[in-house]
Amino acid sequence: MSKENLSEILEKLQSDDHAVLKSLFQEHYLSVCKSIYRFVKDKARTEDIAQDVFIKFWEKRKKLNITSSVAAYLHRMGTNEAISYLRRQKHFESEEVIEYSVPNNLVSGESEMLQSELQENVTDAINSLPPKCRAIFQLSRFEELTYKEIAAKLDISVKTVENQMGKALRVLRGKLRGYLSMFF
Amino acid sequence: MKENKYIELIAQHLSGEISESNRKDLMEWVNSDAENQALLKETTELWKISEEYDSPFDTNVNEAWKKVEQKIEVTNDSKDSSAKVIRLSNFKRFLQIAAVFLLGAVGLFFFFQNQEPELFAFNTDDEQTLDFFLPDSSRVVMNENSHLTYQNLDGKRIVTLEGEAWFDVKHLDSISFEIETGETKTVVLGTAFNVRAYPQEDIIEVSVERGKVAFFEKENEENKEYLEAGTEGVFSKKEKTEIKKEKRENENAIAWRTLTLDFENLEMEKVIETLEKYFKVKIEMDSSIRSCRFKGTYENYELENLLEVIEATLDLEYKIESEKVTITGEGC
Repeated sequence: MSKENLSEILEKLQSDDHAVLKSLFQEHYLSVCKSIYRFVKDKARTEDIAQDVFIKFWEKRKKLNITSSVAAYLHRMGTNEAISYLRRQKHFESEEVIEYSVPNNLVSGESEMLQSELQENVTDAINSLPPKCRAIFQLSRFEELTYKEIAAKLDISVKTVENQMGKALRVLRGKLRGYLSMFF
Repeated sequence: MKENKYIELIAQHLSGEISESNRKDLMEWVNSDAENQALLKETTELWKISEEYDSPFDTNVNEAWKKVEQKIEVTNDSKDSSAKVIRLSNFKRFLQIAAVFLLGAVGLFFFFQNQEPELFAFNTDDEQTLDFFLPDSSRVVMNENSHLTYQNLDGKRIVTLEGEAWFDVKHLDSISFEIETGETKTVVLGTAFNVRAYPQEDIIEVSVERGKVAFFEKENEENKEYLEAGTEGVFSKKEKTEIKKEKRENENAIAWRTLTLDFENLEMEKVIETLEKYFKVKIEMDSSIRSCRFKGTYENYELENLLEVIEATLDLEYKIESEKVTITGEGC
């Protein structure tokens, strides 16, 4: 989004133009949902949170201070809301690895691996991480936050981020070993 | 364990967090042993394939927008302190607003902390449906000739219904949503379902699309069934039967709302029942046809078009005479 475009959008928002919000919603709602869903894993909650993001965005339209882009801003709001939702969950602190029934159809060399199967197994493996560990891994891997930023966001120490990242790698390696060996 | 320490360092390395001294330490460790090398290779590969992580998410953006738009209107209105509240006494005003409803989904609202619980009332006439949001932002679509009230009482959301309506209930922790339909009561534990309770019909029917509801007789709360998605509950007012829970074979409980009839290889007997309800006609057929099966999805079909399809597929004949349809044929 060009700067010019951005200031135009902000101006319209400030003059209470619903239509701008509607078009932003149509453009970004689904992708905001997707990034929230990565953390929250509950479709209805995800939508509630995503809708709240847009409502909050609208409520503070007069005092928005956006330097990057509206899309990036909305996504950051979404991720923040998702994280604070997770932190309110009682089981967030739990260290238990969740056992998903991963289809155990890891095949030997001769048959070709389907992309979707890999995707499915990677997704299951990441979803099986304990909640906090998964949030940390995702923030690092997908949101590309630094350890320091992750620590600040989750209100934990950098040391915790370090060992949870190590844990994530260990668990994922255990779950996806069958695939990893295939690459060598 | 030593390995754990190095996996942490590998994680730092992969996420670009590693310090120069740690990098040296890590590389020394990796180069000291073939197994360590394999570990680095594996985790690097792992980091790469984790890109495949996908959270498939699909939703109806327009429906979501309706909810947001409504809440935005609500907050704007509340700032003007001009709440759109309909009182039962103010019936004329209601009719005006009802006309607006027909243009699309329009939200109403009210806050639970209001001291005096407001009673909201909605009516539909012949061939009129009403699509709107209740004050708690649950969505309701009312079928024709129906009457519905809503009130927030004693920490419960109480709805009374005569006629038919489809509900998508907003989940609010600890504030239950109850629908009273004369003889029966439906308590909602979550989400979307249809209630059919016309006074002139003996059967009260609740059909659940998503989530779970409790459906029971008002006079006899023991007579109760929990209905999950894909099931329906049936109660006969005359015979006061035990509430019967059935797996929904026929997906057409909400055809009046979607204007779509969907038959999945359904027996003609059931197909005819559906058509009678949907088109409000009387249909008679040879008993030999009852067990024939019919399938297909029909959106926005008129009765005659659909009968033509049935005629062609099952090799039957139909006649329409003054609101009554007769179907004849040899059967299957």
